[in-house]
Amino acid sequence: MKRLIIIISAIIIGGLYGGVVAQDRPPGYIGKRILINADATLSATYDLDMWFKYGASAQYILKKKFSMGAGYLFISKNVLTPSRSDNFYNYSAFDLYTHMVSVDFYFYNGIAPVGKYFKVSPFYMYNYSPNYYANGTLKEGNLDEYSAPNYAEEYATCNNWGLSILWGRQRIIKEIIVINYGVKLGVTLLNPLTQKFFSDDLETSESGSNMSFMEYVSEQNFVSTSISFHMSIGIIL
Amino acid sequence: MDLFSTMKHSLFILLIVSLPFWLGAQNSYFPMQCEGEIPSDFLESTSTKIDKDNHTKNKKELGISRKEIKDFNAINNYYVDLLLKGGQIVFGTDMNDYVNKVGGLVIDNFDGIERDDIHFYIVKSSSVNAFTTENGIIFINVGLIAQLENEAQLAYVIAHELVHYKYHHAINTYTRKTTRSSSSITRNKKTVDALEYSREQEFLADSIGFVDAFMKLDYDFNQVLNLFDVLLYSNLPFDEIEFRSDFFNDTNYVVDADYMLGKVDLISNPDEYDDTYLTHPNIKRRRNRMIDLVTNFESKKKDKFIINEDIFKELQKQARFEMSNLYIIDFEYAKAFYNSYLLLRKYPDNKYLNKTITYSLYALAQLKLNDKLGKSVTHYSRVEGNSQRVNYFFIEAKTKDVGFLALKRLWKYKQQFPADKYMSDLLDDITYNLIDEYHFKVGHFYSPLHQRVEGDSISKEDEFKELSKTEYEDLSKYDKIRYDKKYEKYFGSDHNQSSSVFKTENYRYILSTETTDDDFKKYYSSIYNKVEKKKAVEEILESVVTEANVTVTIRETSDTLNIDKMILVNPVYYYVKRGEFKINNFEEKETQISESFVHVAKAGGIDVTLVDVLDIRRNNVAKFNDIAFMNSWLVELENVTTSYGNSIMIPWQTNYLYKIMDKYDMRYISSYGVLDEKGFINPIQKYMNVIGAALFFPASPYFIANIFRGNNTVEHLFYCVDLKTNKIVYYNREQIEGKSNKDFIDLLNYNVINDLNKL
Repeated sequence: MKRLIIIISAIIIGGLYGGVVAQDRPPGYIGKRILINADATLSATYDLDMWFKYGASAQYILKKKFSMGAGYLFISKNVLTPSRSDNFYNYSAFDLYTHMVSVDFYFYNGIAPVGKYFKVSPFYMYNYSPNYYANGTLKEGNLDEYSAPNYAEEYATCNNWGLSILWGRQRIIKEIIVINYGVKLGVTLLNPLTQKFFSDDLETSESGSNMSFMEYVSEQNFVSTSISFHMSIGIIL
Repeated sequence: MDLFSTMKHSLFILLIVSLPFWLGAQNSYFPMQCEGEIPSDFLESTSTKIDKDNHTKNKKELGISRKEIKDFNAINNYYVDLLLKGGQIVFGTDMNDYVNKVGGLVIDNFDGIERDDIHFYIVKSSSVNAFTTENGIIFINVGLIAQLENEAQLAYVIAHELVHYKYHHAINTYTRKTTRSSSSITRNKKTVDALEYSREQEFLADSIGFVDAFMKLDYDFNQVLNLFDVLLYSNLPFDEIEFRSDFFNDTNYVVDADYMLGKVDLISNPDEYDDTYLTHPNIKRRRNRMIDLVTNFESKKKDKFIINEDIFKELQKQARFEMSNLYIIDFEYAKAFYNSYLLLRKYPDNKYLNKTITYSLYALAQLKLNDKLGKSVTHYSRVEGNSQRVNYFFIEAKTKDVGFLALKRLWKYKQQFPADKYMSDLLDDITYNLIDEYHFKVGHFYSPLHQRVEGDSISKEDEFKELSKTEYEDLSKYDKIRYDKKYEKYFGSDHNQSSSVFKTENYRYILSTETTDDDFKKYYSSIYNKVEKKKAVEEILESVVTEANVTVTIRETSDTLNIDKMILVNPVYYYVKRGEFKINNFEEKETQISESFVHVAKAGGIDVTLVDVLDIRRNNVAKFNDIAFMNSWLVELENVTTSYGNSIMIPWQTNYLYKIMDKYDMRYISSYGVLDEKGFINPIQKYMNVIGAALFFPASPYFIANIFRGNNTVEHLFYCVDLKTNKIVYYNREQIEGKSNKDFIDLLNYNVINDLNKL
């Protein structure tokens, strides 16, 4: 019964909202209001280490100057992990994969979807590594020895949240191709400054202590989202 | 002269001489329109003309650099084309033929200029002027023809203009004006020098025109000096006749004496003025210089006319008729009123003059109702001659007086010409506005001889006996209050003070004669009911809105507009780079923005018919005239529209536009323009980009480019008028950061189409 009420309420609210949208239908681009994009984001750190994220996003124009959408980005990174052993450093490496999903709110300077815009995106990041030692000890070895001798039975995982803002420009070519570029700033909830506060809560792996993994994740997530250059190409329907 | 020329000449004479018959027989007049084939000056694109000039103008001959020549060619052709294609220029008319004939006569006697070098056009402008372009186009204003006394004066004006052409005065003045200088003092000095140079050229044109051309003709030399008198008093109308109040008076109404200026100021001698900052020298100085020259020579013959005096007189009359039309278009309603007033004395039954004077009165009443009279009527202290009386009347008379006089005149017009829909629309408009403002019932106006006749419009409930001043004074204090209240209820809110009750309210006699007419009473009451009904609905809605605390937009009609087709007139594109107007590729851009509009409108379900001068073929003069009218109408509409997009009155040229819209089977007419502006980047944005480049070095080229690129904005203006209701139904002005690329223009255009679809 409760479920039914929720469904009915959703239909009514949806209907009302739909009504409002229909009444004040935004122009869009020659009436087209759905944009689907393939995205790429490039971040660079102080030591010229590059992060490349790619994914897809979609947006729907709701108002004359406002649209809403969702985005997905995937990051794959081989992370080097230095560890001191007596008189020298050893390097280990593990593969870090991040799935990032966001809800995007676009605010256009002029009329959506062409021209300058400002995007606010709360996002969620799911990080995991298939070859990170589950017991928290790093594999010692050289740079070329990537793989761990003993794979964990379960992946090391870590969740993160954050918020990004983007200043960009969007153009439409031949009335269908969308080109978009901009600069993005972001901040993650779990980052090198805050990770110690989350150490208890954010222990997501069931396989025991992965504190070190979380430290790496917090650093890598922070670096990869703090400032980046964004590009995308897509279509408008 | 061969046989063919003789025949042509005779035909021309016949045609012109038949003009008075035409004017008399029709007892009307139709504003000037182009006739015959469209000259190539109108059909060639501006860029073609610029290219042509760039190849033909010789820098050695002109003594200026190639760059200066190119700059001048661009500017010159752009502005000349703006004039040619803007709807103000007339070709192919009898007036053109006559000017061509006089011009030909002068050219034949002017060494170094061939007839084919020069094209004459008439400009539909009320100002007393003529001017020449570097390309050999001589423009003669209708205002000049209306004021000239004879053909000799016209010949001398043409001789003067030919000197400007022969000696490249236009390009020489331009290069002097535009010489670049970093110092503002030097720049100012350059401007003053250029103006002085321009004045010197005028003196040269005066004397060379006389010696090299005019003297060789058989005209009376003294007409040269008389021409300077014409120019000296060109600010005055073509005649000076007292404006009398009897124009408005009838058996029941006499204009309040306070509204009529007793004595007008004497016309001053306007020859003592400083010409330092003017392009033309003081006329007195010009005249004095010419006196020495003219008096040195004796005319062989003393002809004032060589071509034909009758033709000149007829064309002068036509120009004077046209002036009423031009003054109205130029928002100068008091001048239009007086011009028509002067002509009506000679042609009292002319329908056109009756129409122009009635429209002027209507327009002045609307301006008074909207407190905007000052925009159109110069204060009488700054006007000379009998125009002072006219301006005094419209400034001093109360809005009620002018308003009801306009209503009265429009009603009279309707009685005479009931089929004239346009004038009926004006009547409805002013009646509605006056009732909306004052809420006077028809009974508010005194019946003839101030003896009220009981009519249907006065219900028994409302009926009461109006008291004489003595009877009123005998009433007790409370009875006075009761009486006043009843009086107010009966006559309207304008009389809420007992002291005002017996004050002479002269305006109440204005419609006395009309109140005896049942048709008028019926008409007035129907409009009154319409106003009251609307007021009642508004009051109810207001109370509902206040209680519910919501905002409601009141529509006059519940019908949606359903705009499915419209006419789009000449879209315009301007490009301004760092404060400087640029002409680069404007035609390409205009084509692009036009095509974009038509395309996106189609996608939005609106069929747009684009009317553009560039699309016209040589023999389609009818379409050319249609576009000219539409352009001119749009300019007029802008004049009578407030910055909020509401029009104060129905434009005069809507009168002629009805036919054009019927021809195109259209109800909506629209116009739009794009201003592309490239400005400087502001300091905050500059620093933000510097920080961006430093923080995110891989993208530094993007940030650095931003610093040098500057800010781009696109301003998009569009409006659409419903000719059925004479109202602007949609007005949109959008200014957005960005460039006028195709996607941006499409976006802005579709935004408009999307809005129009919602109406």
